[in-house]
Amino acid sequence: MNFEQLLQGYIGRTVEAFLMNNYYTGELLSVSNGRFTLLVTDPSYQTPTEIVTLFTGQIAFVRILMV
Amino acid sequence: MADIVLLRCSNNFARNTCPVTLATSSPGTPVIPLGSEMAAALKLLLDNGFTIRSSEGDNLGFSYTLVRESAPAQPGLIEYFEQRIGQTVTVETNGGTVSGVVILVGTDVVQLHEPTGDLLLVLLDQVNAAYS
Repeated sequence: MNFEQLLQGYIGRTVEAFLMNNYYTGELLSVSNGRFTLLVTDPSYQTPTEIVTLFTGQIAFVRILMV
Repeated sequence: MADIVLLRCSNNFARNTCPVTLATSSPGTPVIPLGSEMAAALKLLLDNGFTIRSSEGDNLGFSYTLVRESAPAQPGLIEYFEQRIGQTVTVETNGGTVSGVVILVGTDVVQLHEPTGDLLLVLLDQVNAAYS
């Protein structure tokens, strides 16, 4: 099982994606080959309701929040 | 990018063996010597992150198609985390330092369970150091 296959199981959950110098928080909308999209919900860092596409090669780790 | 291996293994009932008689693969995949045992060849490929996409048997032997969706990270890294399943590890990555109980090791990812109840998916190629 690889990262994308694992991440697909958490579509609809709130996640935090950490890159080297930044992170995004939001609802995981989709996962496809080499990228995934978040509906960003953190208004302190991003415009609310913005859909952000992240590329898995740049991701250090993803935290799937319990709630 | 996917890696693909095609195997053909022929029955040898007299010797009770089923050696590999044909192996073709995309570049960068493990070498399967002709004549090696079918079971050993399949184990080598499965241990290297391949999954069996199709398998067929006939009177003369077996044919397999195996696919690896992404190349695995360094085998030593996978081995390190597999030996620590159920244990708490701290991992330094390019995005920060995290720790949790190892619950799953994939071909390019390790899943940790944090004390808060959150789950972490850590990309293995982003791991700089780990300690437990």
